[in-house]
This record gives sequence, structure tokens and C-alpha cells, in this order.
Amino acid sequence: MIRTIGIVVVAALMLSGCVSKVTSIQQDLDSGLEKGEGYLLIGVDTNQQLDEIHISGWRSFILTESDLDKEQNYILFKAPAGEYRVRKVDINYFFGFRLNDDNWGFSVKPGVISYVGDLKVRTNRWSLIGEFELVNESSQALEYLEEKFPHLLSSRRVEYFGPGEDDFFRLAEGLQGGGES
Amino acid sequence: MRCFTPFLWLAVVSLFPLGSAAKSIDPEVLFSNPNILTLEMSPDSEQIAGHLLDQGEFLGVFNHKTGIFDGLINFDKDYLELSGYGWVDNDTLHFRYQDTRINRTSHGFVDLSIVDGEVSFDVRYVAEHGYIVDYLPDSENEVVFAHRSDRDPSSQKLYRLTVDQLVEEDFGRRNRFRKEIDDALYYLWDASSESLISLVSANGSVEIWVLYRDAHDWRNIYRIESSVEEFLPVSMIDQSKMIVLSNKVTDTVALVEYDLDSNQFGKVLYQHERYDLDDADIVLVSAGKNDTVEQSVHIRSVTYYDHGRRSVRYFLDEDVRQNKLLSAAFPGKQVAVVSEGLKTERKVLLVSSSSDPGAYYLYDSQRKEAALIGERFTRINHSLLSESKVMTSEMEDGTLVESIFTEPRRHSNNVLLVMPHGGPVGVRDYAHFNPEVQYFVSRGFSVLQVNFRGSAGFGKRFIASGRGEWGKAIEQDISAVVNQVRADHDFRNTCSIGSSYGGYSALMLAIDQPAIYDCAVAMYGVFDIPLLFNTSNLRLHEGYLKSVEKVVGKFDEGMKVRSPFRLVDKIDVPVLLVAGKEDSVSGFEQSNRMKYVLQQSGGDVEFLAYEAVGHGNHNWVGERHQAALVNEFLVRKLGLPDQNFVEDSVRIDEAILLADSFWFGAATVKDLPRAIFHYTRAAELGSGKAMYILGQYFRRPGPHKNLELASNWYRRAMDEGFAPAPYWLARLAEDGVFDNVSDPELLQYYTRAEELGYEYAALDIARLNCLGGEGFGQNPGKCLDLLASDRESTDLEEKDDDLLKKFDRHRLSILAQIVTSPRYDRASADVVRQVLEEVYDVDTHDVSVHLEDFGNVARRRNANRVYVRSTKDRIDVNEDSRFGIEVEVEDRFVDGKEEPKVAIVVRWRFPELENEQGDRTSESSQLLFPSVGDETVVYQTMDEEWEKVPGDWAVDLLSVDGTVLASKQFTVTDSRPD
Repeated sequence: MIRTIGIVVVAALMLSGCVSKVTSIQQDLDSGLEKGEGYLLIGVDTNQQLDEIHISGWRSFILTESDLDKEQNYILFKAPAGEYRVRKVDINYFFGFRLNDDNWGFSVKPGVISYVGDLKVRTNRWSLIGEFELVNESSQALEYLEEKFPHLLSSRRVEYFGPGEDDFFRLAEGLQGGGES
Repeated sequence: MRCFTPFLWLAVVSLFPLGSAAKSIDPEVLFSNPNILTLEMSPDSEQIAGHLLDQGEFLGVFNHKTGIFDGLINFDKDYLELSGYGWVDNDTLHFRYQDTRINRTSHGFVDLSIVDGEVSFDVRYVAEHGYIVDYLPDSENEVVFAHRSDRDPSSQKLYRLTVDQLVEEDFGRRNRFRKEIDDALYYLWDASSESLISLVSANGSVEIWVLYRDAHDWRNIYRIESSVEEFLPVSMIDQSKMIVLSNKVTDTVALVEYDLDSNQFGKVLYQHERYDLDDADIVLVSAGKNDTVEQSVHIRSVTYYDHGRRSVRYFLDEDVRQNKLLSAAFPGKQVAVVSEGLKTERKVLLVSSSSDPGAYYLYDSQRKEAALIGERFTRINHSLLSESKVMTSEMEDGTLVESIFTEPRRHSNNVLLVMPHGGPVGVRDYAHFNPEVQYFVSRGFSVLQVNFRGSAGFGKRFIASGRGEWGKAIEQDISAVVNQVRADHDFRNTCSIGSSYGGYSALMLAIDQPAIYDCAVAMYGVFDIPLLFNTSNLRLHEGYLKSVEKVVGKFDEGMKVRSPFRLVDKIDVPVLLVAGKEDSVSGFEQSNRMKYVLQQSGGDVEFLAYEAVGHGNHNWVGERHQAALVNEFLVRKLGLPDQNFVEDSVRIDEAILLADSFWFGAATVKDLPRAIFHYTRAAELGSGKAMYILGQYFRRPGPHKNLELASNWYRRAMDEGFAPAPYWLARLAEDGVFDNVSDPELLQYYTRAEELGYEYAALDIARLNCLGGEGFGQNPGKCLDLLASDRESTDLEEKDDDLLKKFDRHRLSILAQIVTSPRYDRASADVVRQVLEEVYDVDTHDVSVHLEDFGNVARRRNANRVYVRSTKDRIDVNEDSRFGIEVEVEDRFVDGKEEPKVAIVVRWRFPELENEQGDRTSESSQLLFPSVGDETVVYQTMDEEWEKVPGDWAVDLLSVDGTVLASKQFTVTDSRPD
């Protein structure tokens, strides 16, 4: 995990057209995608409740505290296809961590569910030191989708677009379809 | 504190039989800390200090008169750990300990006095960062201390200090020892050459620097470039020559001269033909006069692992003679000198073998006597442990591979467990006492461990030959040895089992050799090699990927066909996968995706994920749990006969350990079917606790609910003497859950529960005596005795305050039940009054109450008080989670007391509710002790789903004599959508 020293969050004006606060899709149905849009699935595994996670890219998103409990969370939402990166993790109103280097990128592909990894967040009691890692946990993400979103899963493929390359979803699809892996 | 370890003087030729006389090996003993962790002899060789774990963790000193250890410092707190100790001089012990709450290391000194077996001591503490570089055994009461400052813990300053100076934190310049070096990781002191040696961090590598005797400047003498490279200084010869253990110019780690001026290796003093040296001892002999003194080097001993056994070769005549003597005295054992003072004729020995966890002896070479100091494990019956055989096999390419094979002494089940080690490169198995091996062997299995190519201890070429050989040469080595062993034995089954790389290998062996393997146990393993190159964003950098390549080879497509995850169609045996959710070495994803594809492809796979566990269990309970899990899996999947040669109590404990973890979700996720499976096993072996929990399970709501079965399990648990069983059998019968218990049986069951130590049963017995029943009359005297008894004088007080509070809460509940019973009469009312007055100091005269308000109830902000928020008698579960009434106890003055505390019984009546445990009820009652004049809110919660039942709900307030003082009825509705 990468270790980062906390920063004081300075409230900044955000243009409402550029940044959207998102909450995870709850209902298991495929409500359709706009052209050039896909589903983005990110896991957040945190040892304390988080306030916000900022994702920037083609559009910018803020994952909000209702989806960021102190445990394993999955957040599924629609996003325009393109390149994104995790930019900032806010622990609370006062403290947060900027993830400044190039390690935090991922992409979203149109028409599919793009699993981009599980963001592991470990902070100490006073939230001044945080450790972060974007981990490939594809099989657990697929089990989550199978349990919570079976209908969506039947209409959309899942692909891995997190760090590195992985063909797990393709192999799993082959097994489910009885095809060759 | 005392460690009750026998001290018996023995001649070296006769050994006292050690260990306990248990009939089978108890895993709780096998997987536990040794009684003695380490021992250190004082400089004069007279005293022995020890880090002891018997009856708690403590630092002790061996009392030669009593033969036991006298405790000095107790570290028996969860957050304190003794991390090191040593003798400063003959009557001063230093110790270092860690406070894990604040992650800080501190030091202490024990000033000892031992006169005629009487130990007295004082302790002084130093709260300084740092460590003792050397105890300077030739120097009285002085140490070299490396001081790390609070402000900059990476900086170290060296001081030569007396104990007093260190305790007084006298870090003045005049006490500075020698010049330090930047970025030092650690300092060592070579007393013979009076040189400082330092390991220095340098751009990701480690450099070795030396400050020789009176030299002014540090010299960089070596840079360790690779992880397989050994360079361990043994001794300085002079300013330009050093003796080291290294494998730079040899294949195996050898004893070599090293020239500091040219940075070149010189003469190889000793090299074993097959094995890496692990340790060496040399003697320097000075010869010559005045300025022409020359040091000649004599090897005293070298240590290596021959067939997994620690072997020491001695070179000096006297040592050779002594070693022969010891070998004769301890035949078949490995004898290691673990500590000696300046008088080398007295030493502390550790004598052990693969079937002997070891015992410490005080050996006096002049008197030729070895005296037992203590065993490492006193509760293991040594006669039940099995000796490992070691063997060498030649592979097709001529490579020699060593293996360790352990067969059970008795009760063999003719099953071979092939157990590859982790790593796979630079790790190895030893023929030492191994709890995991002994556990499986004690259950009838034969265990084979192969030190395949890549294993440590056999030289650089051997290690290099294992790199990138995942699923190739490594498994070929293992298979060759397996074939050899199987040819000599008639095994009924063969299974592979391993952790980490061993987990990978376990599955690959089953894939490659389907005709041989009948099952596989893969723990904390790697199953998809390409995933190692794509684990996370932080593990994509070049440095990390290179470290992966060093183990598995450069990434290529061939890795896919050597990944069990991608060969799932070739796995045709039952598989048990064990993983740690916090595994940062293999990664939990490896095991989870293996499980996923096995499940999806219809494979026979069982999976257990330990919560809060990384790359293996980190405590003994976890080790026991894992061993029991694997053993049960093997027995069941292979259809092996019951292990009835193991004591029932041991088998019950194992089954309960597994069952509890699945029942309570401890260490892993809740899994009721698995819990019930293991409780049933324990019940069949006679466990009352398991029978009781099965009773609980079968009375719970759900498709498995079976009250007859539940009642039978409770009765069987009662017959086994499990105290809660008769109690709950009676309680549930009273609540109408069981209909096959008569009134006299109720009393009989409560009485049985109390006899078995279930204290609460006395209160229910009191209730029955107050109210009477069919077949037995009232006994108010007995009722009063039981209700008013002072439980603080009983066992409950010794247990804890929580139990006392629970007992008191139950007594209040019983009193309320008595008052609201249809059988409540004057006689029982007298008892209730007396108990309330005597035990609770409550006024029991009649009171009246006034209903002030009713409706839904809320809690006031910033106050621990509730109030009626809106007046209404129709309550909707969709909107209101609490409802009730607000009453005022009418003003009265009794016996001159102002605002006395009075007793009121609250009774709620409602539609029948069934809670998650399957208990049904339509009435509840409790006692309140409001003060006269107080406004009191009595309310009902509907937080739980099973409480949200529409219908008529009513609350009654009753006086102690049973008169209804106030009542209110509510209509509960449910407007939630279906």
C-alpha cells in the first residue's frame, strides 16, 4: 500500500456541470445506457467511514458517504466511457488525501460493466496517515454482481479495466456458458 | 512466580523419561508455546536466565537449589512482550520489552542477588529508544548502547555506559563510544578484534562497513547485491583480513577469508560438499613477539543442516571428544550449545529431535554431567511422537534431492500426505520437531516433505535450478520422490497438502498426477501465475515485478498452462482451499478465484476464508482450527475410519472448535449448516454442549425447525450434565414451546440445572415454590429463601460482576412474573414484599398512578430521557418504533421518607410474537422502581422485524399486590407495502 500524509481539505468551488455526486445503483435492472456510456464498478474496502472519494476524468464524480461505510462496499454507477483516475479520498470534512501520482488510473468502456479494482483504504486513528492501494479482486466483484445484480449481469458483460491486465471475467464467462476457457 | 520444572542431576549416560502420559496427542498442547523459549548463561557460567512462557510470560532465573525458575519480571499483559535480554555482568540482567499499545521499546535492568538459593532483586527501568550493541562480558557492569533519539529514530549514537549511567540517561559526549556511520541499520561489536561492524542501508542494498580497533574511519568492505548472496562476518583477523561465511566464490555457503584492502575473497577454510554452512566458530591463536605478532586461525566448529538435521562438526580435539560423549549420552538427538559463559566447560544445551521437541540441560564437561533444566513442552507424551526418516533420491538429471518422511508409530491409515514447502526458492524443510507434521502423523497419516530444487541449504546452483520451475522441475522432483516412497509402501490413498507455494504445488501435483492423488489441500496459495503480475496498481512497478520474476521467471504465456486456475477441468479430486482475507503475499484473490472456477465447473471444492488472517494463521488457536479442519476434510473425503484411537475429549474439542467458529462467525463467516455438521459430530461423541446447541438450532424458526428433535437434544444434553439444558428445557416448556413436560418435571429440571451449577435456576425454583403447580404445592418459605439469598457469597461473585448483574436482572424478572401470574396470592405477595424491602430497599405500600399521556415515544436530544412525542393510540410500525404511556406516581409520604422509591409492575399484552430464537410470547412483565412524584415513561420498542406485529397491544401497571393501577390499549397497524 502507498502511504500518504493527510491534507486539510480546503473547500473549493466546483462547477456543477463538471462534477456529479453519485450514489450506487440499488435496483437490479438495466435501465439502458446512453451512447458512449458504460457501467463503472469500483470496490472500496476501508477501515473507517469515508466522507467522499473524488474521481476525475472525462467527467468527474464524487462517491458519497452513503456508499462508503467502514467495511467492504461496491459502488456501481453509469459513467461516460473514457479514462479516469482516483484523485482524492476525504476521510471527513477536515481531512483528506490527494493521490497525486500516476498510479490511480483506470478506464470505462461503453456498453459493459467496467470493474476497475478495489480501493483499499487504511488510515490511522487520527487519519493523518493513510495507506491506499487499488487491488484487482475480480472474482469477489463478480460474486457481488451475481448476488446483487443478476439481471444486469445477464444483459451486460463485465470486463476488467483496473491496474494491469486480467482475463478472469472472460474465463468465468466461458465457464458459465459451458464454453472453452 | 515459579515455573515448576523438575531439576534432576543426571549422568550423561542415563536419561530420565520425559513428557506426559496422555494416551493421544492433544492439539492444544502440540500447537502451543514452549514452556522455555530461550536461556542465557551468565558470564561466570553460574547463573541461567530464561524467557519463560510457562504459566504466563516472564523473565526468570534458574534456582539451582530448588530446581525451578524464580520469576523476576512478569510480562503477562496482552500488550507487553519481552523482546530480548542478556547478562551485563554476573549479577545484572538487562531486558528489553515492547509495549504494543504505543509501539515503543523500553529497557530494564535487574540487580540480582542469589545467596544460598534465596533470590532477591531490584528492577530499574529506562524508557529510551535503542538497543544494546554488546554486553561487554569482559567488562563489569558496562554495555555499548546504540541510542536512537525520539526526534530522529533513524539516527543512532553509540555510548559506552555503566548501568547507572544508562538508567540516568547520561548521554553526554564523554560517554560516546566510537564514531558512528550514517544510515546504519545495525551495529555489531567484534570483541576479539575490538572492531565495530555495521550494516548500512545503501540505495536498496545492504553494505557492510567496519571500524577497526583504533582506526579513525569506517571502511566499506562489502556490498550485498543479491538476495541469494550470503556474507556473514565471523571474525576480524587483523585490519585487513576477515573471516566470513559467504557463497560469493563457492556454490555452498563456506567459511572463507576476505581481504579488506582488495575486497577479494581468499582461502576457503571450510566448505561442505553439499550443504550451506549456517554458523561457524573460530579460534585465533597469536604467535610471535612484540611487533611481529601474527594471528593464526583455527576452526573450532561449523554448523549445517545434513538431511534436515542440525549438524555441528568440531575440529579441536577436546571438542571432538566432548561431542562424542554427548552423542553417546543422547543417541539419535541433535545437541546444540545454546549458551555458554566465559568458563566454557559449562554450557546450556538444547537436546532435541524430530520426535522430541527438546529439553534444556546444563552440561558440565569437567564433571561429565548433564542436568535437566527443563523441557520445552512438558505436556506432550513423547512416546506418541514419531521420528522422521531422511532420505536422498537421485533425479533423472543426476540432481540429488533430500526428503523427510514421517510415518505414524501406530494407527496408520495408509494415507500418504505429500507436503511441499512454501517459497519455493530459498526455503526448506527440516527434520526438526514439527507440530503440523506430528499432528497429522498422530492421526494416522504418513507425511512426506521434499526439499526439491530451489530449496535452501544446498548451494547456489541448487537454488537457481528451482527458479521459474513452477509446475515443472519442482513438481517433477516431488513426483519422483513420491513414486519412490509409494513403491516401498502400500498406501491406500495419497493427498497433496501445502501452504503458499505448497498450496500451488498441491493442486499442480493433483493435476499432473491424477492417478496418484485422491485429494488436495491448498492453503494461502498462488493459483493464477499471471495474476502475480497484475495484482494491484502499486505492484506494477519494475522493482516489484522483478522480485516476482526472481521466483516465477519472466512472464510468458506458458505460465497460463501452469496455473491451476486455468486448468480447472483437469482437477478431478476433492479440494479444500484455505485462505486469509488479509493475505498480502499471495493475495486473497488467488484463492477466491480458484474457488470460483472450481464451483462454477462443478468441482468438489470446500473453502474457508479466515477473517483478519494474512498469509497463514498467526496464533495457536488458528493453527489448531486449521489442522482440525484439514483432518476432518481428509477423513470425510477419503472415507477413512473414525480416529477412535484419539481420546474422545480431544475429538470433541476439535469438533466444537470448528462448530463454534461457524456458529458464531468467529474467525470466519457464519455458516450454520457447517456448524450443525460439526456440532452433530461432537454430540455423537458425547458433548453435552453440542447437544444443547443442536436443541437450540432445531427450535429456531426455519425449515429445519423440529421441536421433537430439539426437545430430545435438550434431554440428551441434560443427561450429559450440561447445566443450561435442563433449565431451558423447563423454561421452553413453560413458554409453551415444548408440550411434553409436566409441572413436577419442570421443578425437577430446574433443580437439576441448579445442581449442575446453573445459578439462575434457583430463581425459577423460587417462582414455582411461590406459586405452586400441578402435582406440587406452594412453599413460600423456600421461595423467600431462594429469592432473598445473598448471591455475593456464592460462586457468582467469584465469576464476575456481569454475572451478578444478570442474576439480579433475572430476579427482578421473576418477581414480576410472580406478581402477574394467575396463581399470585396473599402468601406469594408477602414473599414479594419481603424481597423488595430487604433486597431492594423499596417501599411496598400501595401507590396510585396517574396516566399523564400516551402515544409514540422519542428520546430527548442530549438527554438520556424519553417523552411522549404525540398523543395517539393508533401506532403504525412504518412510522413509530416506540410507543407507550407517561404516568406519575401519586404524591405520598410514607414512614417519614420523602419521595420514596416504590415498586410497580409493568405488564404488556400483545399478539403472539416469535423471536429469532423461536421463542413465542404474548405477554411480558418487568419491575420498575420509580420515586413518588416522578414522571415515568413506560414504552415498548418495535426495532426488530419480529416485533412489528399489528393488532391490539395493551399495557397495565400493577401494584405489588397485583391490583391494576392503570391500563392503556393501543392499536398497532402496518402501512408498509408488502
